[in-house]
Amino acid sequence: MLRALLRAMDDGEAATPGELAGKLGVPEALIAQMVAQLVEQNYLAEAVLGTDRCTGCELNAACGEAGGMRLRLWTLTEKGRRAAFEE
Amino acid sequence: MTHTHSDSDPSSVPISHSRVVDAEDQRAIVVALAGQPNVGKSTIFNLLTGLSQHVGNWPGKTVEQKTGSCVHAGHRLRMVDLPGTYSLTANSVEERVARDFIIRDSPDVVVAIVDAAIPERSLYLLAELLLLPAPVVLVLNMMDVAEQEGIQIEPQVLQAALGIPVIPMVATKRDGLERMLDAIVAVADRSFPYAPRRPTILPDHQEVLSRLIALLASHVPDPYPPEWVALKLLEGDEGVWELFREVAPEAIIDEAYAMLRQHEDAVLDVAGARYAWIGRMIRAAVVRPRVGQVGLTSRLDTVLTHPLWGVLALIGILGVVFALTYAIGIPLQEWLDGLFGGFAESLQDALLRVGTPAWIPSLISDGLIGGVGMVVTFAPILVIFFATLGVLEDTGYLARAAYVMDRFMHLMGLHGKSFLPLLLGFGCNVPAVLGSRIIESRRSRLLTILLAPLVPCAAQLAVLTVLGAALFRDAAGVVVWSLVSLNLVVLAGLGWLLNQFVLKGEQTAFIMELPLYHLPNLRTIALYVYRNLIAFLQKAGSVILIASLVVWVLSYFPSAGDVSQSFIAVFGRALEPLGSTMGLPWPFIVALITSFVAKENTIATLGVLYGDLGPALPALLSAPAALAFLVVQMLFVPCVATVAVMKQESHSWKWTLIGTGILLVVSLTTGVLVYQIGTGLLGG
Repeated sequence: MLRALLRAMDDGEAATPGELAGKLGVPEALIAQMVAQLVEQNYLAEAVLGTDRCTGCELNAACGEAGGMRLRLWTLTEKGRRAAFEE
Repeated sequence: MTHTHSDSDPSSVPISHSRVVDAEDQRAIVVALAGQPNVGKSTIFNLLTGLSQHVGNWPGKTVEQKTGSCVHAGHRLRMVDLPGTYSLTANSVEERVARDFIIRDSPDVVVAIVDAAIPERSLYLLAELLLLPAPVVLVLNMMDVAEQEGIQIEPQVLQAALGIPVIPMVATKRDGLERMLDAIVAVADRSFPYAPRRPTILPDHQEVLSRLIALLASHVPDPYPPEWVALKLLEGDEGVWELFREVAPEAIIDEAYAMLRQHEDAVLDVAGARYAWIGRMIRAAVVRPRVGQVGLTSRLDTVLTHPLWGVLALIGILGVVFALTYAIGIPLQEWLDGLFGGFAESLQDALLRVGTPAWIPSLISDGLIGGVGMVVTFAPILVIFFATLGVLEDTGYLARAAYVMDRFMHLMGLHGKSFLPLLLGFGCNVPAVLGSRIIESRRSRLLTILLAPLVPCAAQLAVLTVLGAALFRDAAGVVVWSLVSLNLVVLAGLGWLLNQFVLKGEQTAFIMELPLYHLPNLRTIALYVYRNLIAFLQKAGSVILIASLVVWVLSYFPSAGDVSQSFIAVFGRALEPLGSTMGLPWPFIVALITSFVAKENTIATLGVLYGDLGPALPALLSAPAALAFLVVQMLFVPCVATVAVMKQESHSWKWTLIGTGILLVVSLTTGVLVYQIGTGLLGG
């Protein structure tokens, strides 16, 4: 199932957990668990942006603060890409 | 069920309670309560043990240990509350404590408690518990919550599928407690036909598992089952590896290590088989509703994240944002503009009447109010823009917009992660460039840094809105919308070219979490608008103020107010040949150059040089020249702050100069083309 998730990701298109759940025939909550495990095992990398877009920006005062959109996405790591196609 | 102390007088718990229990432990059924945090484990433990609880620490650990006892149907049950855990891998001390207790102390029964509203979340733990020697009873707690949420669980079906007792329960109402105790006793005295259907490792790694078991069989510490140890080693469990290394001979360790290295991805098949098993159990026994917020989100997402409809919806929504900005923001901006203009005129007259030297009224009226004041007048436009952006963000739509834009990212060969920083560019290009740090691949990072300035930032959008309204009046909405689209098209085209010929990026798919749609929170949006407005006004009072004063000084001296003879005119005329290719008088080229300090300076400079922009600008430029000017303004080199972070993040002057150089060439070439083609079409 985990390998199937990695393979489903490597189809080349972005996907939401809901779409992957539909594709793999499991509840969406299970996808979240699987993703967490794959991140822990370094098959997926997590990217999060951000509670404050300007956090860490040295020029914050010059350009002002932007909004606080929180987005999380996960991409395949090199290890994940290899594992997806290992027979 | 009774507690071990006197139920009639709970306060009379004897001090020697634990000693009494210890003596009776010889005959007691030992029951371990396992489960994730917040599934009601403590509630069940407290209900069963009452005041007979003993609280201490697990030996050698700082994790709290709670034990207690009760009597049911003539059987004494010694309850042990295991720490809350999500799995039995040695990720935390709690998980080690839980699994070590089950293996070393061999409880008669393990009760796995699951939140019935989200059973799939707890079933991984159950999958691991079933691999241990102790028999398991499954408790589906919070059945009332599941029912309220319309989730139908069939305990009998689940029991048949699992081959273990499954007890529905509402612990807060004590509903199901007796049935659970009956099941515990039945499993302990073997009157229940306990035949668990455990998850099995996928065939790919069956053979290596068998070989590993054979290798380890006589080298695992008692009472750890070799099958379980082998499985955990395949999962990469460091705790079990340490355990094994302590007792196994060197040669066996080396052989096992080589085997594990060769099969380091076996964890995918071991854990993957458990998830497949959970999926089967859930499909067999759980029916979820598709109503309410989740249903609404799914229904909306079938359109808003659709490859075609999603893009059309995004274009439509952007159109609505601009239409709103024009319908509400522009009248307010014009009103403020009139207010500032009237104030500047009155002040200038008053100062001249009291005999102030002529340059002072000009400085205040043309330099300060004409420059900074003109920029401040578009605060209402920013309020509308940030408010609509805030609504889109707070409802959860903006994440969908980012998601449907993924196809453009693929066209450009951009890494999936590139799209988060680029999205930030709509607020400000500086965090967009800084956000590229999350991309590991240098090429993809560089590509993102070079493209980020093409995302129109809030300042650019505000300048575009004000100038669009001044130059194109009724057609302003379409012009602005088209120019924003042009930026994105140029971004995609340039990205494609760079990806094809210079920086080979990597296309990576990704999973993106989409929040549920919900009604926007007015307070959140108000705060968001307020913070951005304050930041904008601070900028107007600092960077833009200084730039306005510099432009005023250069336009006033040495000719005492005659702009055509001023320093800036001399400089501007030198650039006139460039301006003439786009039908632009020199002040427009100067305005473009000052936008390098801050994008808003375009307005400030034109305000200082021309006064009130509304009536002045349309008379100065033909339609093709006006369009060319806006095109160059949108595609021009980024502000100095963005260039600085481009250098900082690329660690390369070469790439920073290439990036800004490309934008300079692209913006001027496009501007010239727009003017020349437009003039040709309109017949000069």
